[in-house]
Amino acid sequence: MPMSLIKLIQKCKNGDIISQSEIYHLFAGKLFAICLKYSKTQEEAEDNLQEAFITIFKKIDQFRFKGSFEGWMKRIVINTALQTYRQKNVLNLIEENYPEEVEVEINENDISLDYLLKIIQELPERYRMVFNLYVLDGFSHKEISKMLDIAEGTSKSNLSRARLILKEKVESSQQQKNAGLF
Amino acid sequence: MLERKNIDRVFQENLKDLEIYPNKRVWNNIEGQLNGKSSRQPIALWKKLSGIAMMLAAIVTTGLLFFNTSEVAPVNSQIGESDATSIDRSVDTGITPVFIKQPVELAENSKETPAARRIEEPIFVKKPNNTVIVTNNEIASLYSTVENKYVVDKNDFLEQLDETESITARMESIPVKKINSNNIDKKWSVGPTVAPVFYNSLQSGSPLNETLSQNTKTSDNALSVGVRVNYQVSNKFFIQSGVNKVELAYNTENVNALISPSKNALNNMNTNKTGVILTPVRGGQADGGSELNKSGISGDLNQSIEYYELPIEMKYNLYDKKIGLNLVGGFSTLFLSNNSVSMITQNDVTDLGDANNLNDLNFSGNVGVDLDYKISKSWYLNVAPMFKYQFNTYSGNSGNFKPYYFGLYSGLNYKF
Repeated sequence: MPMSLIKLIQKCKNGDIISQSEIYHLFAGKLFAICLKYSKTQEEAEDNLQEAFITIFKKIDQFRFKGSFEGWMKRIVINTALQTYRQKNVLNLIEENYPEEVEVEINENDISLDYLLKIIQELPERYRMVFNLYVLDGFSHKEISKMLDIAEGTSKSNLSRARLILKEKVESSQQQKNAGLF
Repeated sequence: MLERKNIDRVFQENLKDLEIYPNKRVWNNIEGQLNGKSSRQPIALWKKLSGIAMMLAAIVTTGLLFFNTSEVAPVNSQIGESDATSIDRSVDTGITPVFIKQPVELAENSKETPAARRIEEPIFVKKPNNTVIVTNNEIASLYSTVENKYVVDKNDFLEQLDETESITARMESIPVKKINSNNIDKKWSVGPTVAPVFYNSLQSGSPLNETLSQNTKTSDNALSVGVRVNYQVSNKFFIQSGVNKVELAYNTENVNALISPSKNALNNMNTNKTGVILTPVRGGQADGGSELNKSGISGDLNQSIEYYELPIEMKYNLYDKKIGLNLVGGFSTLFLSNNSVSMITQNDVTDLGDANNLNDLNFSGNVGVDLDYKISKSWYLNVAPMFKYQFNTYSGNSGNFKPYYFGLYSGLNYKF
């Protein structure tokens, strides 16, 4: 870890607001991107980021310089997003029987980054959580089942459903673009 | 045949290393909470307001679609001011619009080695393998100015940072390569100007009478007053215009004026009396005289000319701090409003008439420099020495008189 970052973290531990500001500005971009992936709307993502940074600065004393600081912050951000999710009291979806592992393939052309982000945000709450945790943040179905308080099988079928929804949206967008071209 | 890819990989590759900068208010709220103030209210209020705004927008849009069946132009996002050449504004997301910057190549088109550049000017900003998304706030604009210049890894930057140095201060100290003109929030300025003006000719000669061509000519007290309007076109360029009332005057020294009934006057003047003859005073000082008659009077011949001036000038900024330095160039259209010729003797001023060879409409080419001093964000003082060379001033015989005037323009300006 760069020395200057260690110094910054130490100053944050002493509650130095300038250092806190610098930490925020250094990492806000990356962490906000995570918030956006886990949230339905921009405002929700902003709330989560705000909440997460408050937690980061409150708990920064607990960071012992073991492992990556960014990884530590990222975990707090994800936890904050999970808390928000739990507070929403999402109604249990009627579980449909999807095969647990669906291989979904798409053409990569004509998909913009912001479109990918948009369709993740449009996923139903639980699907979005599972897809993010599993695909983008590398958690196992076992971990996810504990985080979301669901069965492992549910996590798997939610993931499959999420993939199919995303595939459908990507392909309909590509078709629209092609139709527009000819 | 298009290659098909696992959907997980498509998302992983595209969204990995994504950085999106949040609105400034997020930090403001965090800072408020860290300082013990409850500041979540602004977001709630903001949400309400944006909800109302969205409803209004929806109503307006629906109305427009209903009444206008023609093709609706895509709406470009208005957030953020950044380098328009590298930004794709056509964004269609459910979230606040974002700009997508093109990939940034690392140092490949630079002859310098990355190490050398870092020592010379260590610049923060890394960029992911593919794309960066930024929203509008200070950091984003900082990124947009920096990114086209140097690209280094964030960790490299941190390693090279002096421990006592502040990161945000360092980032702010990064020289701005180009500032987008859209960032200029106050483009207009207006203010009165006043200038002492010195009128003269590039060559000896007299537009009033050829015989006076060798007489000494001196600028008399003259003044230009007016209003100037200034518009900032880009970061460096300004257009300025306005209207000035210019009173020019010069004296032809040691002139003898007398009336000769037998002789037709050869002056370029409409005189009050016929047969006014102007000649240089021979042998020393003019000695006065009391009345314009056969014996004549002698003294200085004064010509006063009044114009309404409409300048159009470009201003180019060379230096812009508390004190600014600009180059100015342009031209003016001058409308003649008044002119008179009189004899000034030791005791009296005798009106002779007016010049008949002055054009009602003439022009001048203007060059100069403009120094300004910023008093506040909205007010500045300026002083501009300007040289204005006149064209098409005289019709017919102008006695080789090539007039110019020099003015020291100063004013207090208000920006808005």
